[in-house]
Amino acid sequence: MIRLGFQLLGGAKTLQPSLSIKVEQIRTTFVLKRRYPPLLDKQNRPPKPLVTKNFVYDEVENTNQKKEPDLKLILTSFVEGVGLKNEIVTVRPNFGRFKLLACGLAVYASPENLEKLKKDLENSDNKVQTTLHSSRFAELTRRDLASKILVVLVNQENPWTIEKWHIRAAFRRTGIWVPDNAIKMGDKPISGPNLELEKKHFLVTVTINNLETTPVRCMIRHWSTFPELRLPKVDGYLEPPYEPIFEDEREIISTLPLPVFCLKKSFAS
Amino acid sequence: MSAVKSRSFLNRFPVFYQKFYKEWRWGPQAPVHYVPEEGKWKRNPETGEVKVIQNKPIPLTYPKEFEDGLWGGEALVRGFQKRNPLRRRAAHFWFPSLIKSVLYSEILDKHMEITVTPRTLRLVDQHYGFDSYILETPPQDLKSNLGVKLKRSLLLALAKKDFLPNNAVKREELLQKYQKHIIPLEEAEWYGLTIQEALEKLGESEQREVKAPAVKQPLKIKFREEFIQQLKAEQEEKSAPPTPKSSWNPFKFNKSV
Repeated sequence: MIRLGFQLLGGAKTLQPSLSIKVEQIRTTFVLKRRYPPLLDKQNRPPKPLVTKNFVYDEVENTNQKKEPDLKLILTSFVEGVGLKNEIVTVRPNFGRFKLLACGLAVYASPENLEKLKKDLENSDNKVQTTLHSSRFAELTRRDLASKILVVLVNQENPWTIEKWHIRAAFRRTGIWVPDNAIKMGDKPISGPNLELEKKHFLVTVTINNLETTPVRCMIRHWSTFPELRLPKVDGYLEPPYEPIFEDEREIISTLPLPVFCLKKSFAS
Repeated sequence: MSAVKSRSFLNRFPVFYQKFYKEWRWGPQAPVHYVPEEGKWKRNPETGEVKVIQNKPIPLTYPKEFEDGLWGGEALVRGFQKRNPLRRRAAHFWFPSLIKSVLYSEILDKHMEITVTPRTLRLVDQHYGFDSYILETPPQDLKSNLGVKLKRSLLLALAKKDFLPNNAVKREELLQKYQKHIIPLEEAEWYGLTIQEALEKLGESEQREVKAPAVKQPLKIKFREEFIQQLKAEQEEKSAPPTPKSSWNPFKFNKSV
């Protein structure tokens, strides 16, 4: 430690330690206390000098190991997953400093700023906010749904026509609960069983909180209750290229973002 | 001793610079590395003895890297640890943890990458902004060259009112916000100077006062010039051409006379 300290004082250009040991000791700040307090000064006399014994310290507290309190901020614009505009949010300090304050997405919730916000809200119409975004997570949900491929299982023997409850059940199989009024089907009916439709895509529109809408890709797969009639297993059936049922939907299907597992695969290769 | 010496020549500077310099160099710093005891006296609970409380700050060491950062009052503590009552004390240095961080100044409209400590970031949050932190903190707590120079540039910008040339609305807003920090331009120009820079500035101002620099010439030069001129005059008199004789000589024809 002594060697390290002298290196630092004697013209080393950085504070990066050259020794790997005891690095943790350097990266902290301390509150100290003298073990042997100095003698008292006399009145109208020069102060007594410190002796070596007075430089023996005990650590009282290490400030950097304490958990920092949260920051209170006012958002100046909509931030995904954090909050709406003009909302007062409480965030972790480093996230607030570097992701929000430094980018100009928020200001400190100081008394002056709070007063200013109050005045602004009184003057302006509050409903402008809600017309843009319904909630802080709505945008994230929308993007998540847009990158999904919904597998709609249909029967291989009995006749059927795709209805809302098929889509609802397919969503439920992936762990998403969607009410019927949030689903909007396409104009053209799809009916079967028809093995030409196997692994082909069509679009439905999902509305989130009656505001944000997104098209969702659905894929038809045939399934039989008799094991001997079932289609053989195929690997990688969710990967592109995606074939549409209706040609006019081809463009939208190709422009929607790929599922996450496809992105990971393309990065790996 | 050095303090007394420098104080004696400090008297040549303007009063506001003297005040700044005394604050910066010898002003009492905020306690960072120790917890000061409160009150004037304390009583020993067992004996009932009363003692005066004298808070002696822990001496800090400032390495040269300190001048280029904002350490928020932290610095290097050099001391000893007594790890075992039967062993000799061991030397130990306590270092602040340094981070490179980006801080934004509203007045200068600039993002700056500065070496800071977590304490600085916390202080900036407590002051609700980087500019407020710099302006509200006394120079002895900023301490470093960079901190004092930043404060100087902010005070100069506020005094000249020429910052944010493209955004007049925000400038007015900021002037209103930092109203209590606005000082006269003359004081702002002297703020944050090191003693060397201040001396240069003082020299300039003193030279401006004495318009023509008084050059002390020895008298012999003056006398020599006078003497030379006198000699020249005499020579001219001597070498003055004689009055031209007319071709007509009145005595030419009366030789007989």
